[in-house]
Amino acid sequence: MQILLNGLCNGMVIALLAIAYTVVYLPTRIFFIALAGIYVGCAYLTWEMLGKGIHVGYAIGLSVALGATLSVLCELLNHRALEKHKASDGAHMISSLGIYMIMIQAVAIIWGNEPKILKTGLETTYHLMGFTVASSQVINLVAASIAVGGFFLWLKRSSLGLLFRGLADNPTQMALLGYDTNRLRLVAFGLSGAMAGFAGILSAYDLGFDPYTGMNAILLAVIATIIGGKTNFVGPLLGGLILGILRAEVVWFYSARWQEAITFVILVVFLLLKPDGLLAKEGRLESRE
Amino acid sequence: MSKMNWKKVIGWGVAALVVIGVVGNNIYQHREQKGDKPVVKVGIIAPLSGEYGQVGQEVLKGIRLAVKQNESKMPSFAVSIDAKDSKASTSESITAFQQLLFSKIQAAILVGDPPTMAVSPLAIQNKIPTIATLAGEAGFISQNQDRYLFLNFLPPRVAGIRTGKYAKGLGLKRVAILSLQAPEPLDLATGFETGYGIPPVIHDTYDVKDTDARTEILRLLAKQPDGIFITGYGMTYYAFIKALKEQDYQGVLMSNASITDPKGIEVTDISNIIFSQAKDMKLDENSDYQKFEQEYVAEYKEKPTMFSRYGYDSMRLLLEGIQRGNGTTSGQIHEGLKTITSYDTFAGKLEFLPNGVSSLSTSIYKTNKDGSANLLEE
Repeated sequence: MQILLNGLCNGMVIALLAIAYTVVYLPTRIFFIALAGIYVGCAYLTWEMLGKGIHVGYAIGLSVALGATLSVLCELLNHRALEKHKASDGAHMISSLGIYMIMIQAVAIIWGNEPKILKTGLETTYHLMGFTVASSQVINLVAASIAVGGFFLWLKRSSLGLLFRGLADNPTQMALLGYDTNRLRLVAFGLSGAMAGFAGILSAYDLGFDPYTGMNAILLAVIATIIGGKTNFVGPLLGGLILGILRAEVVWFYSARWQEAITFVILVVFLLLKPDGLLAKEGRLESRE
Repeated sequence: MSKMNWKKVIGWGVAALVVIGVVGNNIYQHREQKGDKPVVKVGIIAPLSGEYGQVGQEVLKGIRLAVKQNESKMPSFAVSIDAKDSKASTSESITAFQQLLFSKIQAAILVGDPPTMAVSPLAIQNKIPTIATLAGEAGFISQNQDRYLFLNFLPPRVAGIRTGKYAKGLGLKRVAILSLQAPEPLDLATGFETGYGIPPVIHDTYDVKDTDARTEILRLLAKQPDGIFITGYGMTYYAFIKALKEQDYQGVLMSNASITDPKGIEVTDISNIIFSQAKDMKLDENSDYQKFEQEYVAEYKEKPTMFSRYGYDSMRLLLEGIQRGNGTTSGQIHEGLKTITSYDTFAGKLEFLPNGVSSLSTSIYKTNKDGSANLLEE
């Protein structure tokens, strides 16, 4: 049960990043790798602001807002132009990778390669009913759950959320119906950047960070999306939780050094046997691309 | 613009580039003199980016400080540094060394195992006197009969053996070992097993990218060890120490000298951890070290780490060789270095064996919360 709890805590952060990735992928089919740079960049921004004595709430809020802004800029300055020229999905992915590399190099030049942490000293640990849980695990689980819950509430209850669901379902039809899909895409990118930045800050609080942690994190998010299903937003949530628990079980039963290998074996198994994921939606043939 | 004008523009542009290249090269050659002093060009190959970038950057800071400090003390020569990124890869290290050879270095400093293993034979072949640091012995044992290579590092295996013997002396019966998957920590773990002499209840490894230290620590604790030996460096290593402290582990906790780095104090409680390091390494009582620390803080606004100390000592050793050789060619530097049989570094007194490997006696220490360490056994 302790392992399940550890897996859930890690899995929730993976799920948050997976949803952030899917928020852009579903409506646009863009493999938004630059999210890995935003994931790391927001952690560094928070660290910098805390170092300058800014209150933790403002530091996180500002960093997340800057993450959203960076993400929107990626759309405005890069992907929208590529879309106009009817660029392929591969071109979007390569350009996003280029943006990620620029971001990481900028972070390394400004702050150095040295790993950093947001919280110094030992964690407070709680012992409840035979479980031991650290304060950072509790914060990660609760904060990520609130962020994910808030996102689903917005999606379900708000009018903008309804339009966004429409965009995610069929962007072409939304455009034909006269909705401003460009504006909705900006909302997608902004949301994605904010969620990824928040996930980066949570992870940085627990594990520390350096300029290169983002790529591993985004790969896990993509795998979680593939496992859970990439045709809706609940799939990545389920995929993230499953992946977090599975990785903890691998560490428990085998060893930490098998974690990455088993993760990619699971990916291959799903790609071969259930490529649409666990919660795949049956759709029309032409909308499956 | 007409076609004719474009040709003229391109033509003049090429001519201008040629002139700039020639003039620039002459200026550069003139700068190689740095006034009246000849310049010794030292090539550095270190991981400057990627997972181990932090290590290489800190070593480089120590090297640069040594050069800066000694500039006023070097009447007959100046030193210029050309640092290349090894990316912790043997192929990149070889490429870097070839570039350095092209730029006509007179000496080299190699940081870490990949450059040391890959470049050592090339350094000998090209007669480049070389100091290696933060590396194991592998690159040295063969081929170094003419002593072009010197190792400025306590061989990890030696430190591991010492800690293992201490664990055996404590009467520990069930020791668990966890080591980072990198050459030095693995060497430490292998040395520990040799010194301890009893098979560990578990010997596991972890990667720098691992994110679930807590579950791994629970796995170790499930074996009910009375002692745990964790080796490594970097943030993941400290995460494992932190996870162990969170579990309120009451057994004997042992590690390597990385535990004393300032980063560890930020991340977790590093008190009561046993480790082995070079004898005579009493930094608090060493006035030279305190001077180094002050100047380091003034220059870089942060405290020096173990890696920066090794960088600083490696450059100092090389400077000593240059001064003894009384010249700035590779041959003269080589002759100067060969005369050094022992050298005082911040890690203790290096005694060089005929094959260039350093021998450092070790002692056992225990950490305090503030990063200082108390001597437990000489």
